[in-house]
Amino acid sequence: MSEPEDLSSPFRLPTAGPSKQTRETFGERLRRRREQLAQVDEVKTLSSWQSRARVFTALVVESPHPRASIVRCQASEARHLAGVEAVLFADDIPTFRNSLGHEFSGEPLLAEGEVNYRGQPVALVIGRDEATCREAAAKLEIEYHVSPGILTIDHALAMMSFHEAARICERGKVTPALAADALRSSGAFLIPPQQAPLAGAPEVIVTPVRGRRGYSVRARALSPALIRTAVARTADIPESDVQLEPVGLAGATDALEMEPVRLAMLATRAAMACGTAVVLKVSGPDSPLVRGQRHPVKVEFDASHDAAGKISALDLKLHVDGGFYATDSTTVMERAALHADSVYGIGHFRITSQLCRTHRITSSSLPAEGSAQGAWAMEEIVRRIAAAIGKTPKEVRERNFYVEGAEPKSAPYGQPVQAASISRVWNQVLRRSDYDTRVAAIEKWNRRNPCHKRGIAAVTTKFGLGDPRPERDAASVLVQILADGSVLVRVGLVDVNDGFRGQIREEVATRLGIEEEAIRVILNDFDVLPRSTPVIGADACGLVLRAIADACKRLQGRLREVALQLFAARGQTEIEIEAIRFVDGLVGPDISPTHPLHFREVIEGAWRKRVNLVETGYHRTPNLWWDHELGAGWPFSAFTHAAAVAEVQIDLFTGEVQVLRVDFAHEGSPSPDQGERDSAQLMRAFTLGAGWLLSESVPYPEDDDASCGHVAEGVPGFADAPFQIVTDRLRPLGDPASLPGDPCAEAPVLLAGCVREAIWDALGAFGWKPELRIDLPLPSTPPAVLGTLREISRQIREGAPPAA
Amino acid sequence: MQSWFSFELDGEICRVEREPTRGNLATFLAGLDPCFAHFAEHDPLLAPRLVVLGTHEGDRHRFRIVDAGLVLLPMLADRQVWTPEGIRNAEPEHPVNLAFQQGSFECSPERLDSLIALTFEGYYRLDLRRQGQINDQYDAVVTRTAHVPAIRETALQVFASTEQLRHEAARKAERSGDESTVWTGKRDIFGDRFTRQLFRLPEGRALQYVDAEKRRFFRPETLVDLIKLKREYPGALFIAGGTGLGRFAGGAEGGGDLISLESVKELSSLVTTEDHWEIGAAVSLTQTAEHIGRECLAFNKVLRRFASRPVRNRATLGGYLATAWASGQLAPLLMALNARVRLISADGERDAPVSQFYAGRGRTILQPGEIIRSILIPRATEHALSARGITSRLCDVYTVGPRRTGCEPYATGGFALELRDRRITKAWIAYSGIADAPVRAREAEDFLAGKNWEESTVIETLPILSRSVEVTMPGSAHAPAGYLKQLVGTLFQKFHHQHPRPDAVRPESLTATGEFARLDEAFFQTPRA
Repeated sequence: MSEPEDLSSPFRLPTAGPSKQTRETFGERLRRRREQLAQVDEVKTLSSWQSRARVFTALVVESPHPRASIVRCQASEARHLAGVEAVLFADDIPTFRNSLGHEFSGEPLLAEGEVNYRGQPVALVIGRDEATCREAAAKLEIEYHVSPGILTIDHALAMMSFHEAARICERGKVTPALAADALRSSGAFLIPPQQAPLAGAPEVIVTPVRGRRGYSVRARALSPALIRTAVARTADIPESDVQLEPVGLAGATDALEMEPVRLAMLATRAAMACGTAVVLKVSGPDSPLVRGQRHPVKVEFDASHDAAGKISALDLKLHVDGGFYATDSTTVMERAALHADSVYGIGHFRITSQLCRTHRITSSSLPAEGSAQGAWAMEEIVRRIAAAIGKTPKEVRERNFYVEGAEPKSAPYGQPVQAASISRVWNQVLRRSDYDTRVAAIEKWNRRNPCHKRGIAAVTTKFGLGDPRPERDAASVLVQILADGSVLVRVGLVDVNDGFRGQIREEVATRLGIEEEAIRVILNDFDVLPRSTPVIGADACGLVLRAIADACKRLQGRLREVALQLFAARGQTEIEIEAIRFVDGLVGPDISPTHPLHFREVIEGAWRKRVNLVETGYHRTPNLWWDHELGAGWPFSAFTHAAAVAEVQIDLFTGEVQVLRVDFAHEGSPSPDQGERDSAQLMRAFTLGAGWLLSESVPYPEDDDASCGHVAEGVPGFADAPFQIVTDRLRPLGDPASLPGDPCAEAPVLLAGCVREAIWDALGAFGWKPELRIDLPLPSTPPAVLGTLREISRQIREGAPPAA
Repeated sequence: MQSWFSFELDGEICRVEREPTRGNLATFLAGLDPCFAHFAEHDPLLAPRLVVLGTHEGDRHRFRIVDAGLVLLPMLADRQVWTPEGIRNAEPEHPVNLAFQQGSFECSPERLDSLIALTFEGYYRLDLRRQGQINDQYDAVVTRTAHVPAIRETALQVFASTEQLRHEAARKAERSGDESTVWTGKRDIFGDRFTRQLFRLPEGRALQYVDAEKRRFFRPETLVDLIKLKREYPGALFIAGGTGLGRFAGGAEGGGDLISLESVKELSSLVTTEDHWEIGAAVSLTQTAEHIGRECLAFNKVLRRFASRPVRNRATLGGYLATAWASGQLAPLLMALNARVRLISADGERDAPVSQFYAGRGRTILQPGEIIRSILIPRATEHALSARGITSRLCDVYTVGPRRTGCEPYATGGFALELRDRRITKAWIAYSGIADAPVRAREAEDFLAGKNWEESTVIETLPILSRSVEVTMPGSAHAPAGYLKQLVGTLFQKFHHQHPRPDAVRPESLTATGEFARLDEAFFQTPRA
């Protein structure tokens, strides 16, 4: 076994060379090399030039313990196994290079002396194939000294284990206001995690290119630009030497954001060690390194309200499980806090958010990460208050909505709220679903039916589009007009195959007045456009569409001048440049539509006149800011509003829940022709939310036997979709310049809360009363629902214990 | 023994040489052409790679959707395979292709391909008549990105068009008196490229294939040949549909020879007599449902929650029983139906009730060299019952799982009662998913005998069920033991609620979903004359 090749030291000529240097021919060199190899008993492919074309496999050896000290690492037996190229521990990586870097999480690439989450990379085995690597990994002697880890938020709170001081966002004077009202409600509950992507190979492939001066990376990732940074940093090369191979994704839930960074760094380190292309593998499909999770949040609240349910003050605490290394959990926590007011204008409101340090790995790669937890926490609080005062949740919700013209007019952090939009979607969904009539019908149905109970509920949401890190709210595109008038649009956005291509084509066609068939959209282009706009969190579509508008506007400006000259050449000198329009493949003044120019003629003219037909479009949402120390800012480019009514039916024998009907009223994207795409996006996000709340149970806290295999079985299938779906797409209100481009990509995750609310309503028909001490576990799987039904029966039979 | 075979791939002959006997179609396609590269990323649950198989079943030709990752390559010898790529390119103007040209149905081309393949099978499916069957056709779709309402709408249009076509063809055929050939699918009413080639497909022939590793794959035509082969190659594994090969004994990666039961005529027959059905061990679940489902409603009902359509098209009753799946949904129903298993070997034949067929975790009473010949399911016809002095037979099955289809169920309960007026003469109560093997609740069954079928009897039975039925596998199941224990009682209660009257064999509807979904409405209404 040879030592790993040293790639970091500069190349130096040998000090004592042969006395007489002879120039070998290629054939001689080849023969000599073959003879050398033949003399060696154990062929080392590591440094042989023949092996450069091969692809090795690197296997990440992961910690089986959430918290432990590494007492001993020994790999002599594994290193001598045939086919093993190298085994790397933290000590084998040059000093100061064994880190993910501060932009990511600062954690060591390979564990140094201790492990702090289950799945943490401890070693890297590089070999000719996966089977060899696994055999070698089994021969590694790694001795752990296991310590009890902090695996739950409660444990972290008890141990005061936090990443940083709590962040507070406050409006009004909460403490005195809490004391002022007679009625107080308080409580705590846990929002469990949801598992991120489930399909597709999580492998990362890193290939040395240009004589190992650069690397080409293929990774399934939501933020390829981060991968590029990570690989460049690991290999200590400029980012321009890193090529990203495009990978088409099947939806925004098909990849992770931060996890591929760690994997890409490990793969690069392996590729550097053996000088060949490397495919990185993890321990298995359930490895924590490739299974992102929505952050679990523990919610504590203390609210004061009147007898009608109007909340005067609310002290809300969000304890977010930030794992041991807070990768971007801080942003998740902030999103949760920024959505915690949901659609409710509460005068005195304090949101305290704290990131707990646990011995877990966390990630943020699911749509509406953070915001869903924040908004859902508020809906649960409202439901509990309604239960406490004996009102329906609908009444209490309506009483607490932001109201147009009344205080408060802004969210607790200061960004103005459009109360009219909230009431518009709410009233529309109630009207469309015929809510009141159905409530009465359900009551009647429930009285007749002893085997099934139905419930109905409505919720409405306000979703902020934008990232609290303003540097992420920008997009760049490149629009190129070719000689025949066709157009190439390059976009620095990951292709998630959600139909955005069509929307871009429509935008360009409208702007340049040409047919959509003449436009080709290239997504995933990170070589030409270095900036990658995140597909989750920011309003990526809106940003890209505005960047396109920016590019098209400048191209039009140049083409107008060309058209003016062409008109002049035809003797039409009275035409004003501002009057020239681009419509239906024609170019001409709108006041005299006769004898217009064809778009193609104008382009031909532009080519002859050497006019630049390539334009970069760039857009950044202006004036976004967020100061977490002040707890104030304008973090979102826009809010989008939606409301939903769900009717469910519980099978009292099995606990199975069937969603019978869902009614949506939502604000659509600005283009009237994108209704179908909006509808598809809406269903995708709603399905994600419904799976989280209904069926996708994730082991939390993880135990030693935790297997995620059955998590996939909870993903809703075709037959689990609601029987009936009614959608009302409303024209968005507000400034057209700041309307969200894709309002349905993430916001409907929040709407799935109405399903859980409807289950509570059905439980009420079964006999649940507020005085019972009952909680419906999340997700509400059949065992959880049947267990709750049984507990309700028991408490009714035995007499309810006093409420907490 | 031959080292090659061929099958029709997208309308062209594809010769397969020296490929491993246990290699599956997905892997083969992935290496065949870059356009099939995505077949390499096969996952039976979340990323099935679906293709349409043209088969010759008895005297009929059928298109069946199957998962390419679950079909062994030699099984395809002399068959037809249409991949979604082939369907798209062979006839771009085909109604299915037109239906999926526009719209935002799925988030990846591969998943859209699955929809095309599923719709393609549905387009030619004879028994797809009502809107409630859409779920049955598309239950292999498990993604977070499917636009279900749009898929439903498209399916509705496509299946309505094929029904209309069938009605028109039947009207024309009425004149020549062979209308039935339209409804039984014996006549090609479509006349398109796909059906023309399908109807040219010959019957399955015997195959003896050897791969590069000298492993053999046999597809005998007769039972005698089958038994001879087994005697000659005692280490060879019997294989029926092959859907469980990756999961059960031997495994997809294992060595050894394989003997396919698919073309054995005696095992592929469905016989209906006055008092029972005899289902050959190699008959697929879909075919079985098509044959007995109209009379045995519970069988159709449980199949709707069994795996997914591509699996049901390949899986067989014999294979299901032989693999002894502890939480499978069919065993409780077969027990409740009082089905028997006929076994055959070189030494002769024997039979046993399904309830005695299981012998603990993953084991059955099958002896080495013995195979399941058929499953005998008694029919509950009026004549058969009255001969035994029975006035009615109530039978139903209930299954509970994390989702409706395509998952490992929590538990399944199968129940049957034979009644003389109100009095129970014999009861069958069986469960799966709660122990190492499907079990019968003998004590409760004995208790019920002689009692009147009424609510008080059910309430008296519950403590007996609770005491006598043990839940022994909470660790391997996804549900807590307490929940499974609860289901033992509640499923029986549900049976009573749905069958409260001794004289009403058809189950009462417990819910009224008609206001939300027109499940019973036909895709196409015959215009009134």
